[in-house]
Order: sequence, then C-alpha cells, then structure tokens
Amino acid sequence: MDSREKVLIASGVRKHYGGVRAVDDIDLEIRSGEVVALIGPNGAGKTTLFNIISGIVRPDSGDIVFRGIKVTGFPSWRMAELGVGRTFQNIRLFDDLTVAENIALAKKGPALARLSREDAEDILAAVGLSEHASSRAGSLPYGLRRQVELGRALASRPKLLLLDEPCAGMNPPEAASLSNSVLELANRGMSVLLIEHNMRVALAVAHRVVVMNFGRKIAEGTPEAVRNDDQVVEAYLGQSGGGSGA
Amino acid sequence: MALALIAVGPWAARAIGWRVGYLVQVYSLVPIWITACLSLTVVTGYVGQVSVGQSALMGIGAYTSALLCRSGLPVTFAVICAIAASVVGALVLGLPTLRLRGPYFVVTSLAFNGIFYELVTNWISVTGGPSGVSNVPSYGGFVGGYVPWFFAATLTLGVWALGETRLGKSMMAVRDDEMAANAIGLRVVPIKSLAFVFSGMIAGLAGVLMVHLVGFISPDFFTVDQSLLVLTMVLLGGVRRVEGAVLGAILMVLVQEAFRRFAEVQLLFYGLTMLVVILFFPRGIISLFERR
Repeated sequence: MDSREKVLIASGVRKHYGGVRAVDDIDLEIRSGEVVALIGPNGAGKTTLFNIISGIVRPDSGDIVFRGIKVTGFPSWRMAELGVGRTFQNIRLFDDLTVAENIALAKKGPALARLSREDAEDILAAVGLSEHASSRAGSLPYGLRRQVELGRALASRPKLLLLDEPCAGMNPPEAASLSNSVLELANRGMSVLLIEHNMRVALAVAHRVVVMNFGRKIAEGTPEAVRNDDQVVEAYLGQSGGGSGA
Repeated sequence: MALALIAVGPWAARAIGWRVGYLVQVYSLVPIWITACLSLTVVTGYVGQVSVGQSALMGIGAYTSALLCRSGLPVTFAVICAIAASVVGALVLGLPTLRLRGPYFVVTSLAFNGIFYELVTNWISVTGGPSGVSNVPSYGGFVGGYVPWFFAATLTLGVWALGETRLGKSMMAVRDDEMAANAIGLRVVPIKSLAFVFSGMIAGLAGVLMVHLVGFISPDFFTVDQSLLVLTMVLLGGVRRVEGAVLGAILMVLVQEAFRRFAEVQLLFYGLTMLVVILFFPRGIISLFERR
C-alpha cells in the first residue's frame, strides 16, 4: 500500500465539445513524488485533461481534488497559486520579455518592485540558461525555448508539474537529459504528469502509465504492464511497434 | 535630456528672434500629445489592447474640468474630479470588454469614442453642444506653456518606471500570451483593469492640460480622428516603448505643422503613415535605435 500523499485525485471527469467526447469519465490519481505518463494517440484527450487539471478548461462533470482541496472549475491562475505548474504542447512564452523576466514573473513578489535578473538566478542556473538570461525569449531557438518554459513552470515551486510533450523537437541526448531532470524533480517530492509521444522517454521515467484513447482511459499500470497490454498495443503502441515515434 | 532640450526651445527661439507666440503654442501642444500617447503606451503597448478611444477619455477629463471650473469650483478640485471621471470612463470602456482582444476591442473603443462625441455634441444644455465651453481658466502665457512639459516629463518617467516593475512586466506578459500568464498565476482581469485605470488617469490629465491651455473646448477636439492621430503617433514612434510615445508625438506634431495647409487629407495621411510603419517598422521608428 502506497502511503505517499495523494496530490491529485480526478474522478469521473468529462468534457464534451458538441458531439465529441474529448474526455470521458476519467479517474486519475497522482501521489507525491510520482511520475505518471499520460499516453495515447493524437486526439485521445490528453491535452484536454491537462487543461482541465490546470484550470484552463472547466469540466462538464466530475471532480478534481488537489492536495485535499476541491478545485473543480478553479481558474488557472488559482491552480498555479495552489501549486500546479505546467508547460504547453506549443511553447507559449512571453516573447518580448527576457528569459530572466519570463522566469522571475512566475515567482511571487511585490507588484511595484523592479523585476530583476536576481529574482530568476536560481532557476536560470538549474535549467542551464544563465548565459541567455538577458536574451529576448522570442529570439531563442526551439530547444532553449523549451528550457525557458520548463524553468518558468518550476519557478513557482509547484507541487504538481504538468509537462505537455516536453521532448518534442529534442534530439536523443537532450531528451535523455530532460528525463534525468524529471526523475530528479520526482526524487525531491514533486509530482509530475507527463504527456509524451517519445515512448522511450515516457516508459523510462514513469512510475505509472495511463493510456487514453477517444477520451477514455483504456489502461493503467506500470510501464511493463502497459507495454504488454493487448488493448494498448492495438490502440497505440502497435502503431509504432514500441519505438520512439508516435 | 531630449525633453530638456525641447523644453528650452522657445527661449532659444526668442533669443534669435522667431515668432515666439506661435512657437510656444506648438511647443505646448507637443507635451499634451506625448501625455495622450503615454496613455496608449500603457493600454496598448504594455497590456496589448489596441484602443481607438483615447480622445474620448481625454474629452471626459477636459469637459469635467471645464464645466466644474465654470461652475465656480476651485481648479485643483476640478482637475482631480476630471481625472477621476476619465478613470471611470476607462473602466466603462475596459471592464465589459476584458475578454475582447484584437479587432473586437478596437471596434468597441471606436464605438465608445463615437458615443462620447455624439453625447457632448447633442447634450447642449450641459456641454454647450457644437459651440463647446469657453472662458475656461487658462494657465497660458509664456511660462504657463511649460506646465504640460512638466507633466509630460514626469509621466514619461512614471510610465517607464511602471514598465520595469513586476506589475508592468505582468502587463506585458498578458499582452504576449494571456493563457500562459494565467498559467503562472498572473490574474489577467485585475492586471488589465489596472492598465485601464492608469491609461484613463493619463488620458484625463492630457485632456485637462489641453482645455486649460486653450481655455476653450468643443466636441471637435475629441473626434475619432483625434484618437486615430494618437494611435498613429505611438505606432510611428514605437507602441511598446515609452521613448516611442515621445518620439511619435514630436514627429507627428512637426509633420502636422509642416503640412497644415493640407488638413483635408489628414486622415489619408494617418492611414498611409500607419501602413508604412506597420510594413517597414512594425516596432516603430524607435526600433532603429534598439541594440537587441
């Protein structure tokens, strides 16, 4: 029996867009320090579920409990305040601000205080962006922009980190480095929910894997169990033969 | 430094014998346009809401101050009420449209300006209608002409300083990506509302400075054309930078003075200027001096 605190409990969550069941009766639990990979084919409803958990989308029904507080329908700024950090599938930075400003803004501070590089120094060092601190975020190449978004998500010291395809566009060494970072964060007690199409990464870092298809959860278990699940193989892994692509 | 150089201009002109009265008038209008542009820098440059209603906000301030002064109230009290009225006007424009962006907000602000113009034109018993309000106490005269410069310089520094604070950067974050701003815990509605409050205060002050410089006011001061002029100024100079507001206002006033005899094609001129700037200098002329 796992005694770690349940950071997130989602139960019976549904979201329909017209006739499309984007998320259909999903139950999900994440414990403290746990890495859960959310996988499934394109259109399976993974990002919609992310948006529901992070408060961007309001579910039609179901409940979300975060660290003992019922947060269903809370706006995303409130979820961020409570300790949910996230990245986006399509990187969303404040392009006209510097890297340091992007990160420092995610920390709390007096509204009328000058925003300085020092506010972001620790995170800049942690994600290897110190030398780019003064660069405009919009001017950076793709890989660095991913790093900035990760740094910004970490800056508020979230209890639950939602990473939406963080390895997209990365080469194998970069993806391996990111995997190590995720495991390190989990070892420090942060919970991570990860959408990842790179199956090598997803199965390597996850303690548990949840598989979605057509908005429904079709399997859940350890990476080994999921890898051998017939339904999963048919719905998803079979398409790529368990390789690194989606 | 640039402001200081411009502000000593009339004295230099008098020393070499130019027509001082006209020059002082033009020089006194420049800081009023700078102030108006700064109001747009906050709401458009910082928080990303493109407004074509700034002259209505100026008008609310100008009419409030003019009417209260005419009713015998002290000027200081009238000015404070005028700025407060412009803030209320900015919130009336801003709050219902907080979820609107891009062309939707532009159209709403355009309508707001149109409604204001119709109101002051047709509410004759209060505003004097097309004849306007005259005999407003004026700070005019040679030294009085520098009053707007003082406020323009102070507000230029103030808006620049706002842009360096966490609040100012939060406004810019909202402008760049509202969803991402929300996701890091920034509260978009209060941030936008504050931008409207600041913008209303500054635009109201610009209106107050104008009416007490000229000593007269009429609806024609606050048409949509005037709002477009302010927008053209900040686009020309650089909408995201305080320096852009200052540069744009100075350039446009000079160009307007140079082409005063072609007043009937001014709208065409604004349109062409905007087109050229958007095509060739999307970040304004100030971007030519940026290092990064």
